[in-house]
Amino acid sequence: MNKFFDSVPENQKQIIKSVAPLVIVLILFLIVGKFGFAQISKIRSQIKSAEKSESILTDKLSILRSVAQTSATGANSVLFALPKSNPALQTISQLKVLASQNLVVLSDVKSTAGISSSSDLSSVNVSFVLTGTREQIISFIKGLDTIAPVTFVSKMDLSELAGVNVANVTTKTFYAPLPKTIPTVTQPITDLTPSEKDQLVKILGLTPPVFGEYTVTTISEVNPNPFGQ
Amino acid sequence: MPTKLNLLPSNLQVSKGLGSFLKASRSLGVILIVIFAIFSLGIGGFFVLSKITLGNLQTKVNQLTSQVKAQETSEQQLILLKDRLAKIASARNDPNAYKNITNVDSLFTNISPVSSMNQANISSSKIDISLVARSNEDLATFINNLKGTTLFNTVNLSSLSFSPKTGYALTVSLGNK
Repeated sequence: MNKFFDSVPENQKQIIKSVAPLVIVLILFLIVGKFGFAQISKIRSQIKSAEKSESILTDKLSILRSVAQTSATGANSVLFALPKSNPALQTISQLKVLASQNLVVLSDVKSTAGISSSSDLSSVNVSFVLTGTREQIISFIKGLDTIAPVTFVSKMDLSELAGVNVANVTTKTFYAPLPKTIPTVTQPITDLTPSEKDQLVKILGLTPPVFGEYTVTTISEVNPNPFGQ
Repeated sequence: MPTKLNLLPSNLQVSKGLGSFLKASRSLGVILIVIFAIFSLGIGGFFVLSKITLGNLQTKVNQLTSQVKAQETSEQQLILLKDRLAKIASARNDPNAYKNITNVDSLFTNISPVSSMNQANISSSKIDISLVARSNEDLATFINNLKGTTLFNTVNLSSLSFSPKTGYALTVSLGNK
């Protein structure tokens, strides 16, 4: 090796000695630059992701704190308004209460099995006969708008004979299964919209049935269905 | 006069041009080394600062995560609320005869008790009423109520008959708005 180096002309030796550091520094620039920028780029994207999570969590926490009161009172009311299972018994109970309040005779009460729809909303039909004056019957019908579960009138056939009004009424009451999942901790959540708040106010004004207590079960860490049994 | 002597052996001498090049490349090398040192320090410093920022952010995110988890019940209740409210709003699109039933009552305003509604078949889309009006006044009042109402799209008088014993018997079909 030394013999080889000794055989190199002096000019070339001088050139190598001067240019070699330049080349080494340039190579180091490339290596350090590439590695350094890659690491910085990686850490900057982690910072961006963490900032996004921080923003989402801050908003989420603010919303959850502000709706805590409303959610607690509203949750039970909405479950009365739209139960998770066939509400035929609650509906019939409410009809009996309405009948006694409006001094009409309620008879021949029948209910059908639940009818499922594609939108996850099911319904049960309850038919019955009301006997009383027209004003009492109309007042009873108006009362249906004030009870929970939410009940619609599908049809009414009213007839009058010798001063007595008899109405054959068919109502429809809705129910739906509970939601199966909740968003993950870092997923955003939105507050109630103004129209949802208006709707909630109306639902809070509905008269719940005398039986059928619902409580929202607390989540278990291993339970993917927080509302399940 | 002093004479410049070059005692360097001829085989070790470099040409003038080559000498300038070597001088320049040595200077450039020194400058590049200084720049490299500053560059490396800068990159290193920026990396360390970013790491510290990331660490602080992670701590804050962890704190917020525990606080959000503590509000789990509220979150469940909010999800339930939104789910139920959306489904109730969807259910309200279902046909409901409630409005027609309460509206039809307005047609009998100011009609005497001697006149009676024989039959009323009310659904969400249609109302069929059979009425017996015992007097001209009751008939006129009912017709006026029909004319004056803005609650129905169509009003069809299907039949009208008169009997001296019972009075006017009429059948009306109403379509709602």
